Amino acid sequence: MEVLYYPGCSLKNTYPEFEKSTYAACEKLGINLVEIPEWNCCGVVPSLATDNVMRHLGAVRSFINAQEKGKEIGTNVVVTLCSMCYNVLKRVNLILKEQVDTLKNVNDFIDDQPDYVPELEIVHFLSLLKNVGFDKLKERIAIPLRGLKVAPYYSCALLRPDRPKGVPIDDPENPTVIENLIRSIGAEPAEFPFKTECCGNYHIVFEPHIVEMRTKKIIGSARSENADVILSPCPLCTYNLQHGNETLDRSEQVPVVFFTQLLALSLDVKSHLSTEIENQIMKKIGGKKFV
Amino acid sequence: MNELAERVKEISDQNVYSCYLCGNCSAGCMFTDEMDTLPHQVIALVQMEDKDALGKNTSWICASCFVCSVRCPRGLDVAAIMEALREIKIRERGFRKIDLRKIKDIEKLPQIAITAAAQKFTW
Repeated sequence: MEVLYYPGCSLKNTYPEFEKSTYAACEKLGINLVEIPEWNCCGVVPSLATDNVMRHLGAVRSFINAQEKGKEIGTNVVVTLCSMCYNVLKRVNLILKEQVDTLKNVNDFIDDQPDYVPELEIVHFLSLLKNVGFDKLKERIAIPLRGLKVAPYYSCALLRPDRPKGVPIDDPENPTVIENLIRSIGAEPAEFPFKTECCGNYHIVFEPHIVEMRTKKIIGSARSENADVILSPCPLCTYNLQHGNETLDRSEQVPVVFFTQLLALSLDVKSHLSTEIENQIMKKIGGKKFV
Repeated sequence: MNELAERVKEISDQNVYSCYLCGNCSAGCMFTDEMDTLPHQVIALVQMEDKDALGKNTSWICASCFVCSVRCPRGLDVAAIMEALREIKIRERGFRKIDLRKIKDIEKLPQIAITAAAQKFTW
C-alpha cells in the first residue's frame, strides 16, 4: 500500500523517534509512506475565525504539493501522525470541500502554485491501522506485550471538534480505537477516565503552571490504574506530560511513549524507545532485551 | 442583536443568543480553576452587551480543547466564541497580549507549542 505522508515539524526535530518507529513498523506491515515534497507548517492550531482564511494557507500549500505528488504515484490519501497536524489538515480540507468561496479565495491568493482541487483524503495513522484491521495486525505481532498495562491517552485533537463533521477519528466522548490497538499488540488497556482530557496545550509557553495542574491529574489517574506506560499520539501532549512527570516524585511518574513505538516493539523492529524504558517494558513482559 | 454579539458572530459565525445558559460548557471545562468568570457567564455578558466580557481572563485561559463545543446542547461552538473574544482584542491597534521575545527556555520548548501560542495570542 502506497500513501502520501505529511510528517510535520515535531517528527523531524523534537521527537524523531515517533517517525523512525513508524517507518520501521510500516516497512514490516508493507505500508509505503511517500513524504510530501516541500511540505510546510500546518499552523498547529486550527483558526476558528471564519473571516480570516490566511491561517489556512500553510495547510493548503502542503495540500497542493501533496496533490501533485499524488498524481505521480496514484493516490489521494495523506497520512499524518501528529494529532495537531491531523486536526488542522483534516479541518481545513473539509472546509475547502464544503465552502466553494473559501476555496476560490485561497486558490486566487496562491498564484505561484497550481490550484487545489479538494480531492485529498486526510487520514490519521491510527485510522489507517484500523482500516488494515486490528485482527490482521494481531497476526503479524512477533512479541506480544503480555502483562503490560497501557493507559491510552487520546487527548483533544484526534477527537474534537466535530465540526466540520468528520474531524474526529472516533467517538469524541468514548473512543476505543487506541484500546483496540493495545489489545492487538497483546497488551492490556487501562480503564483510564482522563483519556480524553486536555493536557493544557500551548499554555506550556507562558503559563506552565496550568499544564502542570492538568498533567498531574492525568498522570495520577494513569498511576492509580497501575498503568506501566501512557500511550500518546500527540507530540505536544507528550512534551507536556513529560514536563508533568518532572514535577513529580520518581515513584509517581508514568513514562510516556508514542503508540508507534510500542507497535514497533511488538513487531520486533527497532522501537526507538530509550534503553531505560525498553528494559522496563521487556522486564514487565518477561522477555529478553531486544537490540 | 447587540453590537458585541454581532462582532462575535462576524468572526466566529456563532449566535450567542442561541445559548440558554445551561452551564454545560462550564461544567465540562477543565480550566475553570484558572478563570475569573465561567464560560457561560461570559456568554451571558455578551448577550447583555457588557463590555466586561472582553476584560475577563476566560477566553485567554481557554485552550481550545473543544469539550464545551462537543457537549453544547444548542450546538454552539463555544471555543469559537472564546476565539472571537480573543480576536476582538488582538485586532485592536496597539494591543499586545504576549511578547514572543520573552519566552523562557525557548530552546527546550517544542516548536509546535510556540507556534500554537503565537497563533492564539498574536495577530
